[in-house]
Amino acid sequence: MTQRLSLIASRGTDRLEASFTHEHDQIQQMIQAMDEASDPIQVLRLAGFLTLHNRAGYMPQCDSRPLHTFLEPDPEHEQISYSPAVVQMLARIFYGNYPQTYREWLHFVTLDERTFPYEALPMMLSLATRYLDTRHMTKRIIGSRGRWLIDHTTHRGWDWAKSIKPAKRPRLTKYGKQESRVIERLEVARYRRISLEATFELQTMRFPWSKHFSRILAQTFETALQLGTQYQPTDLRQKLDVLQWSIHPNQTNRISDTLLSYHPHGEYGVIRHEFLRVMTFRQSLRAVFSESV
Amino acid sequence: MTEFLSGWTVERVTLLAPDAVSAQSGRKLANPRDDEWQAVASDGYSAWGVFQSRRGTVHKIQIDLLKLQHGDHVWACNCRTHKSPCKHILALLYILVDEPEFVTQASPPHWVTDWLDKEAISARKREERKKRQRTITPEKIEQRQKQFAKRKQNIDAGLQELEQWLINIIRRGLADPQIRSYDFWDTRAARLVDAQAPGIATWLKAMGSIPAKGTDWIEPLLDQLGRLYLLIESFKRYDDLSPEIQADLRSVVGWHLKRDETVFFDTVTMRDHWVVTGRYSGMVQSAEQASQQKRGLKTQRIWLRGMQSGRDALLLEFAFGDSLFDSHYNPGVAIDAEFTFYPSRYPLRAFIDDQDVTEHPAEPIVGDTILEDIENYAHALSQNPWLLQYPFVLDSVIPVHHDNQWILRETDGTYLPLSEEFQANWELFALSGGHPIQVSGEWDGSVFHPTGAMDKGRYIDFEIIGKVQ
Repeated sequence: MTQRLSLIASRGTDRLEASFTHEHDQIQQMIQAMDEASDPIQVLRLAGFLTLHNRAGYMPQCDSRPLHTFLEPDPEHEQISYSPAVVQMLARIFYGNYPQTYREWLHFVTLDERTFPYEALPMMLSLATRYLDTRHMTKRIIGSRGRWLIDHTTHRGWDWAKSIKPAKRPRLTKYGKQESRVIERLEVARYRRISLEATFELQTMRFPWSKHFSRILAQTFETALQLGTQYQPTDLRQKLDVLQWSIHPNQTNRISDTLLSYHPHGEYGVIRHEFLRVMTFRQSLRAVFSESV
Repeated sequence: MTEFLSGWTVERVTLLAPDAVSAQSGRKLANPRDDEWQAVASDGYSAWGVFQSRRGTVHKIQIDLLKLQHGDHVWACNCRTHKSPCKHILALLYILVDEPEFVTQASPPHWVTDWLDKEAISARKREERKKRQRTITPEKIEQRQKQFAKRKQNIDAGLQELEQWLINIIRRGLADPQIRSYDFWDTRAARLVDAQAPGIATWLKAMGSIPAKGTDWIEPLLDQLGRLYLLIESFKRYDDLSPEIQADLRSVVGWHLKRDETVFFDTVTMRDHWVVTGRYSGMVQSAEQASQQKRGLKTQRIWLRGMQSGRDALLLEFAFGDSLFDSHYNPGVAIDAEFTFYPSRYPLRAFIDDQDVTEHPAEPIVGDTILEDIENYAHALSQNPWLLQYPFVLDSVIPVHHDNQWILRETDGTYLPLSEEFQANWELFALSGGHPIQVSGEWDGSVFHPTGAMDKGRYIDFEIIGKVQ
């Protein structure tokens, strides 16, 4: 009946005649009562009636397989206390414009040993799939439920988590040696420009950078622009793209003021605005960790 | 240490902010150690502050704490912004909640008492105006009848045109290429807006996106067209129907009753302890807007269940663009309040007709089985066949990926399919870990859309996790 109705509706009553029969007595009676109406009206009425009939008489389906044959529950199922703000921040990172800040979120979570609810795990695993350098640390904190989720998931690209070794502890001074190397390079250029070699080195260094290192970089950036180094907007954007995800937020005003005095308008203004947006987001991320319990 | 706003948290203050920028600015200013704060004081009933900005402008901020505790936002600041609350008010609230040890206990100065007196007078006037609005006078009845007749005439004309349009579609057939064009639906929807039937316009716009959803779209589209046709036929008999059925029809058409119009009906008013079971927000937009992700009218549905009455209620709100919804209740919150239900054969939509609303953390509630809720839905549908969503609270279900589809399964194997629109399937799966949990949501007759979950007394809000912010 539904197939016949769909066929007529699809081809049109100008091409196919509307004639219906239904095994259900009451529906058949209704069809007969509609006989006087034109064909399109019969189709519309019957479609409406059958929809309501199906909705009101909906019977849920049943999967006869015992659940344990295809889904073993995670043995750990506990109530975890956590800060909702920390999880809301993760959702903003995941769905928002700055997923790169997951590194920073992860850093604070591991550093402060923050707990998070089970429902945060898919976002964390997806972000770690995207940012390779966060995988070891993510694997360290996902716990029994995270491992259970990975075992029961396909087509999400989380297979890396099956083989990767979890990090043993948060490595907060990871870039100490690299920072010294970059400083050496800046020193060679008498802190007047961030050379290409230094930029390449910076690109391999992810969050966090030390306060001291951040200050030297911001200062060099300021000097370079004050000395009149000509940057095309694309070059400037590239430089900032290296700095903005890892530099300490206390250098925000310095870099912003430098950009403002360098070229306040046009595309340069847009670049400064974008930089400020990223830094504001990172500051709000930090605020969440400093405020929430 | 004195607690000025009992049970309030920093997060709750942030929720009051009109936008993220205000919240951030407020948080920045909320440093009572700063010299810019010349005074921060309270007598326990009201709070006030004097803030001198770096430019030298002095801002005087006042908050009625008693009213605020009851959900009434009575505050003032002499700054020029149109935002309410402004960053100064937010800053004072942050200080009151976060650093009450810096708030001096004192009697209010004259400028605060003057303001409180003025506010009391305004509140009394508002209450009187409200009373006047509730009083039915012969003039009001006459005016309402005139407006009613005019709008009914417009809608009748619009529906008559729409009927012919639907007939023509079925005559030519749904395989006609124009059916796949968004313009085809949006143009007709615009005619219905002109005919003062925005509800049908929205419905038509939603229909326009069905052909784009996949290969099997003829049947779902025909279902919608059929229901729309039944609505047109029902509306032709409008004058012969009971006031409740008329109200249901009006609601689908988008001819919503205003709060003060409910006095013309026998409405149900109920005081209860209402637990928020779920929250949904989404866009009310045309197919074209959806495809271009333009910002438009958005809607919020908050579902609540009365602990004493066992009754479900819906707070339905609309907002445009970046503006915020009035209500911020989310799963995990319970409110003691009096609800007035809009007239309907199966009343669900309600409004809070009460100044005395108190919020609490929600306690666990008892839900139902899938079969029980399906039975309840069938009953509701027999009363109001135009129901678009119906609230389910499923007590013990496990999210499972079954035959390329997400389902909520009970231990005996009974299951409901999840809506494809629901984005947090993996989050729900991770939350459950293969254990039964309580999931609440909306049933539309064919798929279930989760709006909240509860596990071991903890409520989960899918508007925060699992949704594009």
